[in-house]
Amino acid sequence: MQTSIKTSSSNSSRCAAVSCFIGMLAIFVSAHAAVRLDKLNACAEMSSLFQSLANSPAAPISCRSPLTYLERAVFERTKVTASQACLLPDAPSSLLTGFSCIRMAVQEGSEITCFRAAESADIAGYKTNSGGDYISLSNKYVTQAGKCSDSNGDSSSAVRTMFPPILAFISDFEFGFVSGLGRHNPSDAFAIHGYGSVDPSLAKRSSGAIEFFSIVTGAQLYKSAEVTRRIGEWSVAVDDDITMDEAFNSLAKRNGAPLRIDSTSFTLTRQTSSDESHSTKLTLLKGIQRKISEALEDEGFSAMSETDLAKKTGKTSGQIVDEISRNAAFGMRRNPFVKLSRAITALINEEHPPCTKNHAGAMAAYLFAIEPVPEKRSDYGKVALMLLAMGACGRSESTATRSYERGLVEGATDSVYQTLEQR
Amino acid sequence: MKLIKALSPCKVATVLLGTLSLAHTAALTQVGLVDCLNVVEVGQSRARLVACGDTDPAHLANDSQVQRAMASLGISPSSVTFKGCEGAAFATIPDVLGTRTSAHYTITYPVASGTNYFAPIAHELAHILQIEAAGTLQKLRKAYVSKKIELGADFLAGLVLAEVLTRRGVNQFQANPEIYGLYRELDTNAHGTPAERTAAFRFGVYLDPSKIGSSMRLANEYFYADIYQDVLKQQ
Repeated sequence: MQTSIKTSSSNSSRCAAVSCFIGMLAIFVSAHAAVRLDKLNACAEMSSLFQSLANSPAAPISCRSPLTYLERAVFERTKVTASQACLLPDAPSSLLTGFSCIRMAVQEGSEITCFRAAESADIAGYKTNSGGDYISLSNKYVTQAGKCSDSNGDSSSAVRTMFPPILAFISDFEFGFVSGLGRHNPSDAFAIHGYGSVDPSLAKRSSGAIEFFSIVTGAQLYKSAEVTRRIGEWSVAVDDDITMDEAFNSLAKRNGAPLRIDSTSFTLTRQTSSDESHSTKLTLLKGIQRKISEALEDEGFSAMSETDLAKKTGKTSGQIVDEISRNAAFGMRRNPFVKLSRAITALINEEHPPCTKNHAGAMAAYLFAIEPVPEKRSDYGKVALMLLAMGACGRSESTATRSYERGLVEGATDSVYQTLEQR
Repeated sequence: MKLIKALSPCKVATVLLGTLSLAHTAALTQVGLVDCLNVVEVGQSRARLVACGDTDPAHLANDSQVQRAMASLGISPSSVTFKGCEGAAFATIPDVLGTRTSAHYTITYPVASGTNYFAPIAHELAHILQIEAAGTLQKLRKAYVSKKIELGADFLAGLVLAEVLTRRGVNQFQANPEIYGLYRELDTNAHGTPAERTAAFRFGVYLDPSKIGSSMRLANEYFYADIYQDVLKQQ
């Protein structure tokens, strides 16, 4: 903010000028000392931004390098490349002046996420209502946002799952607001505006919070790849995790690493009117892991003891789990959606299939479990099997190797079903 | 729209209702001690006493949306009396207390211009279903913490609004200041944060009907057993 102070030989006019300056400074300071609810209800700017993204989702763009501390932190922690996340040279709308904006590479539609530094005191002030009647301000904001011409009328407080994933690496969701865009409800487009608290490890050079804004158009409806089988009261959703496997395998191939994974997960739910304890459910998961492990051992795999695992990896299974948890994105730690069980089973096979001949290759199998959500009756957690082909097996494209892997997955699947049938 | 800031608006409202009723019947002797469930309670300051007639100025009893909501929740219209007055809180008060099952309920509401009644009334009607499912208000409170009860009522309100209104009507709940969540509240009267209340409501709006058939009682049970923990993950 610029102020101009006219000099004058008279004291009164100088005092007036100084008072004016102090007043303007006070306004400047106070304008930055409170949560600003001024994005989603800026209907003209929102419309312009939405229409430009919806009409030209793949418009050519140039990218810049990270400049600010928080920008660098985002890119260092996510390890994304410019082709995956393009830091825009300019804000895509006058509404977002002063924000760092990232255009995400998405298969369809478009997604832009923006953020700028904010004060952590702003968040505390908002939540304790010390700044005024935040309820009526927030409701007014939501109502106005829902009345914009490009809104579909569905506007509300935002929920945690709507927090832009890329920002979870430096911050945690605190609160926000969301407005559906377009003509349909539910819509494939929305805008979210809110505030997050910054990772304290970044606090030295940050003000402790961010204000964020994100707009998504042409979002694809989530299609589950799970195949569900019912066994009495039980449902087992089998997911062959193709997307994750392809991402890892492409990366390994590009880097010339002789590795290939084939993952499958089994999500367990039970329709019952009675509750079972968390420990009973964990016992079931361990039992399923053990059954799958036995089936793999029948196929020539050898289970690694904790000592063997520590020798090969330098860590016990518990330490591996702790490291995974520590490395989770900051915004995923406080109220995690998933909790990895401490029981990991690692097995190795250096004798089957043919690609293991002359120690040219090996197959490893890792069994993980995701704990059920406590006090959620139907949730019994998840067991995941990851097959890792290494060396000649990792490079092998032969039918024999792939058939062998598929056979192992089928065996694991049968083990899950048999355990539940016997329960 | 002012929210009621009261030590116990339910108790205040009930004192007034009880006082008036005493003039006509001898039944309500527990003046000042009646328990109830209310939409939002903010702060700890005492409410000013207001005169509250035995009337339904907004004619909620005859409102077609409210009647449809009651039908959806399996509530007999004759079992509910609506009483509105300036300064009252949205609250559900069973006429019979303690361990006895109530056959009749009073729903109080504030009378002020611009009030959007339907969503908070749907929330209050949901409390009736919850009380009846548990048996008594006392049993309900013993079985579940306040937050679970209140978010459960938001969830059921979502089911009701999805049935009675079009999808664009969801903002009757989401943009209603009477149902806004709080970040700082006592556990004994917790209603949930804005994100949690929105999540509970939307779980109801978008619930797959096959999960509950057409039974609101099953929906109520399903919320306690499975949905509540998912709602808490949203803040």
